Amino acid sequence: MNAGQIQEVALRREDKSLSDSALTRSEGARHFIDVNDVEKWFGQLQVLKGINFEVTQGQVVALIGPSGSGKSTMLRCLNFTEQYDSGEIWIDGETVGYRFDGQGRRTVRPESEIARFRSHVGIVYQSYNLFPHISVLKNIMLAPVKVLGHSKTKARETAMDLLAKVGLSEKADAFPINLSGGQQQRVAIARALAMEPKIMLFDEVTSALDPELVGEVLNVMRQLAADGMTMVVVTHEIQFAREVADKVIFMDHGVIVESGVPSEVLDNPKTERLQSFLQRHFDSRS
Amino acid sequence: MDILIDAFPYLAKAAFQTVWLSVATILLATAVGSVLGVMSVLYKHVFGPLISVYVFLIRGVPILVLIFVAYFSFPTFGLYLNDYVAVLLVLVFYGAALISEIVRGAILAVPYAQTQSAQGLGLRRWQIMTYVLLPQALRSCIPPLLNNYVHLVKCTSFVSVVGVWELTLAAREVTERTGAPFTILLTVMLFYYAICYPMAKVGRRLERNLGSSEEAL
Repeated sequence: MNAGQIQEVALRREDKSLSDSALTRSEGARHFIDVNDVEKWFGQLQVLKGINFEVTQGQVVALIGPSGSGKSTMLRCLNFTEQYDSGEIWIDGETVGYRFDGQGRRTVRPESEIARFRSHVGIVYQSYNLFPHISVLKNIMLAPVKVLGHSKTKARETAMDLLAKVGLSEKADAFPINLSGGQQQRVAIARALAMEPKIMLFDEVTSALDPELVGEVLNVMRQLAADGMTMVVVTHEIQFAREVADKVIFMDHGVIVESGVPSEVLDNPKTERLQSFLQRHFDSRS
Repeated sequence: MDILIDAFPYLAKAAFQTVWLSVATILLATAVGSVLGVMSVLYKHVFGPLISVYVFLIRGVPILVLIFVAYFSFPTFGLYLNDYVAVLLVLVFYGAALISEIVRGAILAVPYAQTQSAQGLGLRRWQIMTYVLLPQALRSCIPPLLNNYVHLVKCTSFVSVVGVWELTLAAREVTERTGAPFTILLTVMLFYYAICYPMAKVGRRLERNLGSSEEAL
């Protein structure tokens, strides 16, 4: 299966979820992803202070900012592995994690709904987190078989196609422990893609890699973006953001400081905070 | 020596009884303990506190007292169980508490990142348990399980105090009849040793093997 087909399947699934969902809809959902006034606290510390942004279908959005700016937390809220304390997140016409009654009250969705929602949203983490007890092939096949109910034959075919796509066909029967970091991360991407997601979330996926392995992972992501996948990417790779992203969002201390197209945000930063962030970044790279 | 030759078949038969009691205890306690261990993780808020109280109680009371409770107090509630069933219940009750703690600990020792990435793929809670957490937990819980099995085998000797016939009770009978405690008890020790030593040995070996592959991770 090539990426075009993946996107096509994703679109079909999206139609399905639109038609069969009896879930609340409101004015909140104007874009593919809508983040409205999201706030989050860790105890006394407010890590997200009213975040607003939107992502349209096929867009690649890069979240940049210093450590502790809240960008990873924001990303994890998008697939509800972090809960948010107020505001609303809409993805593809559904509110994420909670149901809202329109009068300011909300209830957590049942586990089955959250799991179904997450199956449409692929996420890749900094530390790959492959399942160490099963082979690379089985890592990729597990969720399609158990969650989507695909036959093993079909899941194996898809998995082999995806492995070819990330350039790791010969590693199908290897165990994660025998792969390099870059290879593990590419398997993790293939594992997420096997679910035919509508959106891919990337959480600093190259930060744990040796410098010479970063390129192979970025190449896979570049390809994915070119194929039209909707992506939200938390990254420290400013160069990559400039090249691939349609929109860059700079966060600091739990607020969005600047956002816009890369040429505008990265080349002509308006705020002093972004200027010094970029300055520090390029100083450390040169 | 003649005494030993005369008594040996009797003791061997008793040893078989001990093996039977041990196997039944180990199988049932493992089944019950694993279920309790899994439940206390999966339904932390509902079963967690209940199971903690149970484990705490069992740990805080000598097994001998539990055996007395089952043997003497069940009948006062109108519950007349076969002697073997009564003591087996206590042994399973006791063993399951220890095993549930081992299983729970092994599951919780699997890094949370594994759960997180399984959630990200849309797997349900019980699927994550079955396909991701338990297979990984199994590796780390086999060595402590075997150590506990050895402990449970030795615990079966306690049932002799309420007159349930097995190796220890048979040994007492024979020593009283023959007046040769040293020879007989030495033989009994060898029987227990023969049952427990292989288990301890296997446990030790697995501990080493699994330990080293764990490091490689």
